[in-house]
Amino acid sequence: MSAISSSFTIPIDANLLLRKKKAIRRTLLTESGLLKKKIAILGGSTTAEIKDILEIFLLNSGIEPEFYESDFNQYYEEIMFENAALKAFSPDVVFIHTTQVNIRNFPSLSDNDDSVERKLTDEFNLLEGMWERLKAEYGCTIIQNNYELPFARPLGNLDFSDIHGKTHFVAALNQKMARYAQVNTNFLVHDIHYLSSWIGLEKWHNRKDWYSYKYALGLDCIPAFAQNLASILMAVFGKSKKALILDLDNTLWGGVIGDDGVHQIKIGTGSALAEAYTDFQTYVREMRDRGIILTVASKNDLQNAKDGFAHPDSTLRFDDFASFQANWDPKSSNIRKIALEVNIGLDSMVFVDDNPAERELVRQQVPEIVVPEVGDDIDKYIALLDKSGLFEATRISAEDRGRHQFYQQNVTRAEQSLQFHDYGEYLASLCMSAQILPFDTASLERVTQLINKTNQFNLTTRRYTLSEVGSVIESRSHVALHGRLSDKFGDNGLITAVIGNIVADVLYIDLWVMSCRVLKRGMEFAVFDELVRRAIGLGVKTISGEYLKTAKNGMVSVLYRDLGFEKVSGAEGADSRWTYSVPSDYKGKNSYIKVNYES
Amino acid sequence: MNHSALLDQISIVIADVLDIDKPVLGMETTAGSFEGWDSLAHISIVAQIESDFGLKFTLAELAEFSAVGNIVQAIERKRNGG
Repeated sequence: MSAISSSFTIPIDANLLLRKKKAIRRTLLTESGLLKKKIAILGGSTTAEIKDILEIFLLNSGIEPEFYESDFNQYYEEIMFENAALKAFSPDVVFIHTTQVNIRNFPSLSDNDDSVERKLTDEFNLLEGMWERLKAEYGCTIIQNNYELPFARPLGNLDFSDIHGKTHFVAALNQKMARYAQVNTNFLVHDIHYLSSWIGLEKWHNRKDWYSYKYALGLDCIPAFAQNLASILMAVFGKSKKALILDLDNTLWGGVIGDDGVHQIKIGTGSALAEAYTDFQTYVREMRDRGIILTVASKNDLQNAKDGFAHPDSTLRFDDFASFQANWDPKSSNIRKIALEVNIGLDSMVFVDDNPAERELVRQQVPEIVVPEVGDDIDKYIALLDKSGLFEATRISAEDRGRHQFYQQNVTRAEQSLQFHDYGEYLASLCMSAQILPFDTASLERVTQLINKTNQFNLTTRRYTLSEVGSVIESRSHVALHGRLSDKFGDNGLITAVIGNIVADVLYIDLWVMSCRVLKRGMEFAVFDELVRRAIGLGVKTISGEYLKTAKNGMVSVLYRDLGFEKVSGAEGADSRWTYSVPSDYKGKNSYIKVNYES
Repeated sequence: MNHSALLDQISIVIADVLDIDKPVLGMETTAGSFEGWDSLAHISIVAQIESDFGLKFTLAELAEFSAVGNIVQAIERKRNGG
């Protein structure tokens, strides 16, 4: 396994992936617990190598894809006309691989303002027609490339500004795609406009691979293309990383703070090196702002480490970190401590350290974690993390933007909990209040995100797409509730969702998730009370629950037992089914949360 | 001329791309001689030979690669500055 997992270094080794893809695939397929997903690739040029390399990226991240491939350049026809094969395939995701070779309405020099505008509208209508048809017919997530810059510019530099220019046309078309993506949550853009520029258009527009094999991008660009596309798929399937674990000395600032002292570390604008570290801190802070959890694992005395962030030129501050481990213990044990403190899985974290020995030790001792090969050259760090795609998201929600505040509040809560001997007293002191309401369209996106990202408090790990959650709202046979929780330290936002399906007088709980931010607060009792209250109103006599074991959801293996269910099949701690006879005089189980059932 | 060194290097490429044991190649071995050597694998094999030998074939040469011998000759031509 180590030979193969080392094929997936970050940054990637493109040539190794192209050369050894069969051996890599063979080895990865022996992994157990792979999540099966169906992906249709509808191409406007050759897609075979894209499919192969995409597959090994997905396998490496725990997803076993089943593919449907369109006939060569038949993407439009296969979408727009009756397609029994695609219908039977029932894709989770459709990826439309188009590039500027597929643009049908490029302007000619005889066009005027109006006719160029018309061509733009015509071209966009072809795209929008496909997306609308896919939405109506398949209800799946859609990913499509935007357009890269053209191979040749007959108008020279004017190609950019003249209305007849291809460059000009591509820019306008891309902008229309962006606007569609802003309002259609099931549609995601694979940004090859950026990717091809980053790789280099000269390399991208490999004419030999186009004339010989009809590849619209150079073969040697395909690994980066597949990595970028795979990162969107990982985000769709809830497999993106959530947290950064950072070293300090020579990672977040130059120098060793314990030896050099806080005034000697390199940060700020005093030197080239200092500026590079400041830029990296700024990038890390931007990651925080979009919802990535920041933590520290550093071999340092705690006070020295804290002092670094009190440096007047430090962009990052001590309270930007959700967990701060500065001591002389092995990093692997600090990393496990961080995972417990912030309540997320080791496989959702990325470790950044300039020291190759620490990176290697962590890879060996915490194999779940991703350790990019950042080297020791600070001017490479941003690009390396930025192009890794590890933190890809499908949306940035208000919850994401406020996440660092939740964690800051959690630190305060944890400090306060130390003052109480009795956990109940602590819970009471939090003055918690909750809102528990049926799903509504306003919260659709956040509920979907929660369902697809939650791994620990998750009874069945069933994933729902946005349109599936939407259809639950409409359904009369479903009881679907979401909950928000706040306390005296702040608002935790929308943190739990439960979906039940009523058949006769039985309510089957299909799914129940809760964010790791609010575990052990008794919120599950408040949610269950409300579920029972609504179930009684709908004539339900029995509630049936299921626990499906995964590597991560052990914490809820006996949730149903604790709620008073009887086990009907399976064993405690393993896949099991539970049942609850709803008593007519049901007494609420929640004792610490004041619940508001009105919006 | 003895081509065995070149043939040996090419056989390493083929083994890696097709995920098979190193095959024995002759000048007459044709594309498709081993399981998995389909048109897709052929593209990868040629690309990997380019990368191993540090050269680029022309569009015209690519169209001629039906037998291993054609590839060997193209490599030799390039090495002799032809």
